[in-house]
Amino acid sequence: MSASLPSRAAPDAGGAGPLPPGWYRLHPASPALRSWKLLVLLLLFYGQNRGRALLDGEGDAPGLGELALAGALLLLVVVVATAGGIASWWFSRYAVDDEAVRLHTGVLARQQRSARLDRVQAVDLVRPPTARVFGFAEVRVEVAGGAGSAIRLAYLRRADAEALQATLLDRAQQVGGEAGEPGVVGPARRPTGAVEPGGVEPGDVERGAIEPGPEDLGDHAPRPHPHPHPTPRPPGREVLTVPLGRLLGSVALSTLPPFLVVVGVTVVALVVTGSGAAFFGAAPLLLGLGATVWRDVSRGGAWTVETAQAGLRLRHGLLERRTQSIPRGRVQAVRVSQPVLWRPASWWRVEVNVAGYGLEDGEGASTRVVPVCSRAQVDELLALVLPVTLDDRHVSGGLTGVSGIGDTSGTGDGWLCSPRRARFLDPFGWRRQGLMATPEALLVRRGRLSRRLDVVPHGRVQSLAVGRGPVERRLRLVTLVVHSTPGPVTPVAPHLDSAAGASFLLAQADRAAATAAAESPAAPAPVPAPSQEG
Amino acid sequence: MSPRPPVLDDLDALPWVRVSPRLVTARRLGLLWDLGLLLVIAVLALVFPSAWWWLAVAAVLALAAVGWIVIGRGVRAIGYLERENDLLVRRGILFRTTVVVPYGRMQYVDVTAGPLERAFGLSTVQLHTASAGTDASIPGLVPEQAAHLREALASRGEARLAGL
Repeated sequence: MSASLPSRAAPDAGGAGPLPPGWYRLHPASPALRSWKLLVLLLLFYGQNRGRALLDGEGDAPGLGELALAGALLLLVVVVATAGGIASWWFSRYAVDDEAVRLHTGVLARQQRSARLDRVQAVDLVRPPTARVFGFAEVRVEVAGGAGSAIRLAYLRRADAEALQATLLDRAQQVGGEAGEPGVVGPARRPTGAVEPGGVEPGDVERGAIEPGPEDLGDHAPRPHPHPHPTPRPPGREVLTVPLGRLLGSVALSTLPPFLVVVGVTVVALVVTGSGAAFFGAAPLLLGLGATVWRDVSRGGAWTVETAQAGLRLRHGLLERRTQSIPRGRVQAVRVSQPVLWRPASWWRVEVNVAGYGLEDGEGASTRVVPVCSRAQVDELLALVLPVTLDDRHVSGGLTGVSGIGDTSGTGDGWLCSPRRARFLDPFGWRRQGLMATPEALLVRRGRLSRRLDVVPHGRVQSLAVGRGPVERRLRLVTLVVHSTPGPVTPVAPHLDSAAGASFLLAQADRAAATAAAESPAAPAPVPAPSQEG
Repeated sequence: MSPRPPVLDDLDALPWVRVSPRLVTARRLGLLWDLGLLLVIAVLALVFPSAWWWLAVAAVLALAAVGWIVIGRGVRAIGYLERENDLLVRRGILFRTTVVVPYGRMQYVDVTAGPLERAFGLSTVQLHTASAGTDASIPGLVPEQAAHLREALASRGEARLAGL
């Protein structure tokens, strides 16, 4: 550490692995690692072009000379891309201080991104295939700014990345430790006092605004990442692992059938028409469905869930290995779903809405807690992921229950279900769809063949809406929609009796207010329970 | 608390606050502006008589008439109600929606006014929560209403602030 750099904080603050203050550089091999996707893309493009030509009988098999030329061109493109990557790497630097993680990037258009440590949702490790082969990893710091707002440090040596992840998580805990409360999330400004990182508000990532960096960090040339100081992390308890056989079976019974159907239709068309046109017409659809199948398999491979401090830690991925944490206090809603073909095996899938994760997309954090699990594991996961506890009867009723006859007062084991006249709109599902309010959470169930249950704690309901269209008006029905943060869980309870639906709406509004009052920073703080995970 | 649970239509009996009827005029002007291009076609029809042009004129007139009526009834169906802990917003005739937003869930409040609204001295107050689906916007508010709502929402939101 250079002597002219004043130390901004005591290096051993709180026992976290010390990262000396200052700017650091990512690993020099990063530009090369980043261009692997480009290489694969070019190979695919070339292969597809030549393949099409071959199939149409216009060309012959590529000779040695052509292959050599193509190889040289590919290499040239990769080198040029890498050169751009090298420039970008040279101008990238990151720093971690008491308050925030900062990343400065950009050659021509400079970008300075900083994420406050008390707003950090999770710190994930991502290892794409080439990085994995050579022992590198990317550290991704997730905040609640939605998709694309994560700070991505790519790439560091794996040991460095793990040490940095540990450091950031510990620092975030400490900083949040001065502000938050277990299981209760309040704005970090107001002192309440506890363990988890504090409240979340959108717009907490400052992006693009050129702000002067902290003066103490100075403008010295950034250094390579320091030798990692191993921080002993308390080992989490493993909750479940998804065996490969179960994963493959689940994919075969969910996303594979549509793909096979399209393949079958294409083959039939090929045979009948005798020309290759059918194949190229169906190619986009095949690619799309095939990509979905592939993504489910490669993302879902070697899926492990274990407990971590204040939440769950997920590890998954066949080729690209990811480590991700789902903080319990941040979970907004949970969906447990079951495609129809999984019913004989009694498999379920668990997904969550987490503030800031957005919809599950290719690069973003996974909103799946587990792609497939058994019924007993569902109970365990719900207990770990939700900040509230649920009665087993209610969960069972939500997952598999079907009411006999739903009448206007809403019976059926406490579920408010669709009345009989809803059968004109939904002849099959009307007996099952409905909702129930327990003292802690709102449960919404739907689906007779493919079943699902959405759970939203009262304190996490953003808003509610009751609406009806002209047909529903004739039948005196309404649809109730529960609004939650962006994510895969969108609880909707259609075709309820209009009187019951309206009264439920008003009652739920009162429940939400009561829960918000109990959880607000002004409420007397309960004694924080000692952390169970150690 | 009345013994009989309220029916959705009985929610009409709640003391909804209506918005300014000047919004009707503003929106109807907007309708005419939107149909302006089609009106040009209608004028062309007068210049070049042909059956197809007359059909176009008829279509434009029909659209304008329907829009005229719908706007009038639609604005009358907009209402809001400030309760102790939440805000209710109602809109729509054919597809009627009532949204409940607890004060503690509000992230921020937008007060905006498009050119037509501004010309009539009206503005729109829109509540945002952390959910993208919360569609609680109240158009056609006169300045006193808008200012009152803004202040009331800000202070109640602050007082009942709940974390995400």
